[in-house]
Amino acid sequence: MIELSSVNKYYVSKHLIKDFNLKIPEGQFLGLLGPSGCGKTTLIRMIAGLETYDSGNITYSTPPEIGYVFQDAQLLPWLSVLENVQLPLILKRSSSGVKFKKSEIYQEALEQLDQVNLSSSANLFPQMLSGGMKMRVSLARALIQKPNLLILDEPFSALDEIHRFQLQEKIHQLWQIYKFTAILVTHSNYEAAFLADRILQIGDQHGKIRRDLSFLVNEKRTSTYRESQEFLNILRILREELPS
Amino acid sequence: MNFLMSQARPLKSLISFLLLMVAWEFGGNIFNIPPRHLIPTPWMISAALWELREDFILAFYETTLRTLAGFTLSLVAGLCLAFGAHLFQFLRNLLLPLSLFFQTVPIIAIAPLLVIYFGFGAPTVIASSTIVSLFPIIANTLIGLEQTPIAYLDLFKLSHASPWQILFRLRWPYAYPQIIAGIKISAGLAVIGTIAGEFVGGGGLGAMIDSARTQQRIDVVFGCLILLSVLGIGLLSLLNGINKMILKWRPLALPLKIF
Repeated sequence: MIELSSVNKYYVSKHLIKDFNLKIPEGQFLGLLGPSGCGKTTLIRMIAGLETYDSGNITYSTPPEIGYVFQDAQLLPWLSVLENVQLPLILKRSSSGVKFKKSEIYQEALEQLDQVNLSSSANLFPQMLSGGMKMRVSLARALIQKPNLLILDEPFSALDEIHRFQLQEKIHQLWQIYKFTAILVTHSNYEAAFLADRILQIGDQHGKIRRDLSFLVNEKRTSTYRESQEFLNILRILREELPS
Repeated sequence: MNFLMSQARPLKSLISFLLLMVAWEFGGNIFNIPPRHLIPTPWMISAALWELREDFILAFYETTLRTLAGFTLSLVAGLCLAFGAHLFQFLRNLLLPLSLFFQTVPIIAIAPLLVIYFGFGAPTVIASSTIVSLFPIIANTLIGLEQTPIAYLDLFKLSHASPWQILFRLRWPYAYPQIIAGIKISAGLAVIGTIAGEFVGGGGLGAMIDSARTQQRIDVVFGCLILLSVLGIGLLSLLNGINKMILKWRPLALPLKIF
């Protein structure tokens, strides 16, 4: 469980996040929907520990092991695909005293690449990959640490529709396998409706939650789910409050 | 056919150069344009190079060695100082006024001091070459190290990377294009520093130019200039070759699209 209580964040003189309260149960897939500048990214950065807050508390019931997928894949261009995926464990190996063997890291990276169907591209450099492939590598890199919290910061915004749909389905599959908590930041009702089982609609200012919607969706989310009545109903509810 | 196409540009440059040489030669000989006592013809320069070939070879050898020594020193010292200044604020504060001083005061004004400190000969010349070529390496490296995008830093922070890991696994590879640009600027400046040093410290092509000037041997001066240009081009070609080899190993100098 991640709990934010009365969190406040100022940026220069702007009150960016005001008295923000939220509980995210373990294993939940939370979608944060809202217009640009509403504070979504600030919120997830604070949760990830990348940004400080001025008052309030953020607590975790278990120490967070965070995987982060950035808006652009943010792969290091001088490292091969395999080396990019290995990177978090290599850094951790020397910084935290955790003794991963090099062969273990190598094997783990190969497995993660296999998960995102990129084993054959392991030795390529990022500039040789398409946008969709880069995002899948970024996902494999986030998952190699076996995170209990996966943060997705608009990961589909630079992708065309085919790759966007493929990646969404892959993320849903992995979420079902690994049961991690996930937070997705997005502008798109479609993305949130497809992936999340709880959606927060954030208002224009101070990161105020306008609606907190939970959906019990049992159906496995594949391409056919996008045409289901259930999916369309969720979209309709989301549109009532926040026009796309 | 493909080979010919790929060689078209250098071939065109070579033909243009040869045409210019022929025009210069005939213009000088037939119409005295440009005046031969001010700008000797290519043939006159070639004759001087041949006539004094032993002196030229020795001077070229000396200047090359001193340039390489000065450049290598500035490369090693520049990189160490830049990495140090990136890590330690006090070193940065110390370097800033020094770099301003050496960038604004011409080397030719500092060179006589170097003779007092190091005497005539190689040490003065190498010191002059190092001083002139040091600061572009420091400045470019320092700027490059500080341009790392926040998203990459976040990525390393999330993995609890140490400052050393951030510096050597992220900042320096990201800064590589900037660093290599600084090194190339420094290579050119190292030749200038060597010649300025040789004007006062003696030896090499610098001293040869100085002595030819007093004897009004403009053809010898031009011969030295040609050899200096060969040295500069050679040094840059060497750096370009090393750079290409590094980039073949790792794509370090790509235009990075961030945000």
